[in-house]
Amino acid sequence: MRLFSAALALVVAYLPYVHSIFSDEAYQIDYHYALIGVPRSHATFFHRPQTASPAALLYTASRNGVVGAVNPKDGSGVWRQTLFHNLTEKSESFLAPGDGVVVTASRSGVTAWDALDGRLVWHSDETFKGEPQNVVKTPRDASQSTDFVALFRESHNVVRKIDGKTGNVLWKYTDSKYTCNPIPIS
Amino acid sequence: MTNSASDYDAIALASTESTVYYVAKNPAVLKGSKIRVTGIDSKSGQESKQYTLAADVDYFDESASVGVGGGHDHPFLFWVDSSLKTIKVNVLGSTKVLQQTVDNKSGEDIKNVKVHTTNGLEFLAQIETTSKGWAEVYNIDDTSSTLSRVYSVPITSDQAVFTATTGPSQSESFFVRVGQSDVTLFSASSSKALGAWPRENDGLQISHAVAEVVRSSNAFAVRVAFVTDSGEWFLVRNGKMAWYRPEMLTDVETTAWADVESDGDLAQELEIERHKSIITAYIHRVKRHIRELPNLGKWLQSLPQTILTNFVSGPGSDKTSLAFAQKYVIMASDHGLYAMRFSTGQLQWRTTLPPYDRKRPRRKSLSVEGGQVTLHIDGAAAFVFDVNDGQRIASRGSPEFHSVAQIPGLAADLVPIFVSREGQPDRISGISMEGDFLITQQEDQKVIGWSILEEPKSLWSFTPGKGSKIVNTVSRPAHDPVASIGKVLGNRSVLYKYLSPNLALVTSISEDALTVTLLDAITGTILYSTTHPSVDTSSPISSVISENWFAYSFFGNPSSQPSSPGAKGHHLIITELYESPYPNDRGPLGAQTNYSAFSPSPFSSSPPLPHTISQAFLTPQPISHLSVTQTAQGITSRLLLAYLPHTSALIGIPRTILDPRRPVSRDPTSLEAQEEGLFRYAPFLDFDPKWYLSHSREVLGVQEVMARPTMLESTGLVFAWGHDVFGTRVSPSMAFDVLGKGFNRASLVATVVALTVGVAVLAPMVRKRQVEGRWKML
Repeated sequence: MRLFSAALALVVAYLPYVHSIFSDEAYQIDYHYALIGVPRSHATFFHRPQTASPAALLYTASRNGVVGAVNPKDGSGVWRQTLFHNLTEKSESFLAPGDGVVVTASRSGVTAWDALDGRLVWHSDETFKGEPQNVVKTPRDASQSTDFVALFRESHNVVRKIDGKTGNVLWKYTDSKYTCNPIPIS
Repeated sequence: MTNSASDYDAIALASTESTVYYVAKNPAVLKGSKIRVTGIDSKSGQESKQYTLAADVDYFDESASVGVGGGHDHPFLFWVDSSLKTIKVNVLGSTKVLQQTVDNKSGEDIKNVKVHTTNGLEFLAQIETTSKGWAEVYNIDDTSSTLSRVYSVPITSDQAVFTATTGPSQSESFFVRVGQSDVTLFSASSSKALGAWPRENDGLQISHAVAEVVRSSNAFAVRVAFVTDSGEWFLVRNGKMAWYRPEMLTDVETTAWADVESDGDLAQELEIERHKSIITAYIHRVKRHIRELPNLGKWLQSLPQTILTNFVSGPGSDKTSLAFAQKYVIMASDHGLYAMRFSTGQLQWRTTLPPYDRKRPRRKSLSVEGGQVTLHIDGAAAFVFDVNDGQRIASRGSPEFHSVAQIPGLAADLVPIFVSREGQPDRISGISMEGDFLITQQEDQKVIGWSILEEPKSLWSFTPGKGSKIVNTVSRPAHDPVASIGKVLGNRSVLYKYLSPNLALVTSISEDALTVTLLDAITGTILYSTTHPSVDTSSPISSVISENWFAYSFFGNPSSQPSSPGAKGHHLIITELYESPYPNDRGPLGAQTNYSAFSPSPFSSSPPLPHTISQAFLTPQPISHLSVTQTAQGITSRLLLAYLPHTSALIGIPRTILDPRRPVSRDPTSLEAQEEGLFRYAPFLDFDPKWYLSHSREVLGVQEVMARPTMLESTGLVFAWGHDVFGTRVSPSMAFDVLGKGFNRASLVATVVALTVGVAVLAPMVRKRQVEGRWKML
C-alpha cells in the first residue's frame, strides 16, 4: 500500500507539468507567416551580398519598421530585423545597399546590417530626431572606404555623413536657410 | 540607383566622389517654386556651391515626379513640370536645365508620369493617360549638354509598369516592361525588344516593380518582383510566376472566425430529413441513396486507398483535421478581405474591396453568419460577401461607428449595434430579450451600461478615480462553458465558484497606480476592486477574464524607498472568485430559489460580493496580450495564452500552475498535493520551454490571439495575428479523445482476424468432442 501511494504521489507530482504540444507535431500542425510588410518602392532592390558571387538577394523595408532579405528563387525569407520597437506605429524607412551591408535610416536612427545574414554591424550613436528622408552610399574615395550620407528632417533638414565601417558621424550639415513645414501625410 | 520618389516631398540626395548634393524644394504656395541644389564637400562637410533652378512644380501635387539618377559618376536631377508635358533635367554641378516635351500621340490627357533611372545617363519615363500607357527613353549627353529622346515604347491600352535596372556588368542599362499579359526587356539604345515572355493575365493591378537581368551567352533572363495595389508581392521569372508572398497580411485590422460547409448540399438534405415525419424522412433518404448509386463504383475504388492511409501513418493521414477542416479565419484590411483555411494555413480566397471614401482612416468590423461575411466600414459602406468564395453579394451604407456589437436577435441571428465614440449605441429593433443589456466604453473616460430593447437607456456608468483613464475593459468570452460549478477540495468538500455571465473587468491607470475593478454588468455594482501603487504605465498592461477567474499583468516599479510597497518586476496576478469562503456553503444566496440582479435578496439591495483569492507571480518578461484557450464543453483544463513582445513568442501557461490556492510558506498537505494537485507557492514564475506554442519561431508584432473550440473536446485552435500570422492547435490535457499516431491498427485487425480464424477452425472440433463426450457417458 505504501509503495502504491508513493508511486501515485510521484505520478500526481508530475501532473502540474502537462505538455500541450507533442514534440513530433511541432512544425507540422502549426504554420507561421514571417512577413516583412508591404514593400516600399524606394526601399526595394536586388543586391549582391558578396561581390564575388553573382547571386543576389531581394531586400526590402516596409512601413511597419521591418527590414528583410528574401531569396528570389523561392520567396523564402533569409533574414529580417525590426527597426523600431512598436510595430503598430507605422513610419517610413529608407534602405541603401553597401559593400556587404545594407543600411537603414528610420525613426530610430541609422543602422547597418550584414547583407548575408542580417546581423547588426553598427548603429549610429548620435540621436537622430525627426523623420528620415533618404540615405545614400558614397562612392569609393581615395582611402577605399564607402561611407553613407543620410538626410533627416528635423526642425531643419540635416545631412550627415556616416563612416561606413564604424557608424560614426563624420560631419553634419544643417540647412539653416529654411525651416521645415510639416509634410502633409496622406 | 532606381529612385522614383513620387511618394514624398521632393528632397533628394546624391553623392559623387567629391561632393554630396542635397536638393530641396522651396515650398512656394504661388506658382514658380524653386529647386535649390547645394553641393557639400564630401570631406569637410562645408557648403561648396549652391544654385537655384526655377521649377514649375506644384508642391502638393501628388503626380509630380522628382528624383535623382545617374549613380555616382554623373548624378542628375529630374522633374516633371505640373502640366505633365515636359521633363526637365539638371546634371548636378552645372546650372543648365535641359528639357524635352513628352510626345503625346494618344489623344488623351496625361494623368501620371513616373521616371525610372539607373546608374547611367539613360532614363525611362512611364506615362499614363486615362486608359492608355507608354514609355519614352531619354539620354543625357554630358559633353554637349543635351537631352534627347532615344525611342518610344508603343502605346498600349493595358497600363503596364516599367522599371529600370543596371545589367550584371554594372555598365548597361535595361528597361523592363511588365504588362498585363507579357514581360518585355528593352535595352537603353533601341526600341527593339531584347526579349519578350508571355505572362498569364491574372488581372493584378501592379503598383511598382524591381527587376534583375542576367545574360547568358546570347539570351537574357529577367526576374521581376512586383507589388500589387492590394499589397501582395510576386516574382515572375521570364514570364512565369515563381512565388508569392502575402505581405498585405501585416496590415490586417480585424478578423473573425467562419465555419464553412464544404458539402452544403448534404447539410441541406439532412436538415430536410430532420424536419419531416419518420416515414417521409425514410423515403427521402432512400431516394437520396438511390440517386447516389452511380457513384458506387468510384467509392469502391477509393476504398483501398482510404484503408491504406489509415494503417500507414504518414504526413497526409492527419485524421484529426476532420474536426476543424472547415474552419476559416476571415481577415479584413484597407486593401481587401482574405480567408485563410485554418487547418492548412493557406489563403483560400482573397478579394479587393469596392471603392469607398478613403479620405480618412476608417474603422472596420467583421461579422460572419449563415454563410455570409459582412464587413462594416465606419461611415462609408457595409459589404456582404459569400464565405465560401468571397463573391460580393450586397453593398449598402453604414453609419459612423467606433465599434460594432453583435447582439442576439429575434430570429436566432446576430444583429449589429453600432456604438459611437462616446459609447452611445444606435437605436435598433429586432433584439431578443437575451441581448437586452450592453456595456460600452466612452473613450477612456467611463464605462456605461445600457438597456437597449426598446430604446437605448443608460442604466449606470462607472468612472475610474480622478485623474485615471481606462486602459481596457474585458468580459467573459462569448463561448465560455463551465464544466463544474465548484472546486472539489482534498477532503471531498466543494468550494462553489462564483459564476456570473455578467462580469466586466475594468483596468484603469492613474499617474503611477493601476486599479482593477470587477463590475456586475447589469447593475454596475463594484464586486471587487484593487489598486497597485507604483506601476510603470509605459509597459504593456493586459487582462483577461474567463469562468470564475481573471488575470492581469503589469510592470511594478516601486521606488527605492523602504516605505514603498511591492516588488519590482513584471507581475502576473491571478484571482479566483468563489461564492463563499467556506466549503459546502453557497453564501448569501444559499437559501434562495430565485435571483434577480436588481433585487438579489430580501436582506440586501446589492448583488452578493464574491469571495476572492489572489496570488501574484513575477514573470521574466512583459506580457502584451492575454487570452484563454477554448474547448467545446469546457472540460479540458485551460491554458492562459500570453504574447511576449520582447522575445516575439506565444506561450500557453497551464491553469494548474496559476492556482491562487497554492500554499504559501509551507509545503502542501498530502491531501492538497494528491487530490487538488497544489504545490508550494514560489513567487517567480519561470516560463517552462514546453509552454512555448511558437517553439523557436519569431512571431513579430502580435495584436490579438484568438481561440476557438473544435468538435474534439481535447483540442482547441489558437490564431495570432498582427504583423505576423501564426496558427496552431493545442491539447492542454493531452489528446484524450483521439487515437494517437502510435496506435497499431494493423495489429488490432490482425488479432481480430487471427481470433476469427482460430474460432472457425476450433469450433467444429469442440462440437465434435462435446457430441462424442455425450455418447461416451451413456
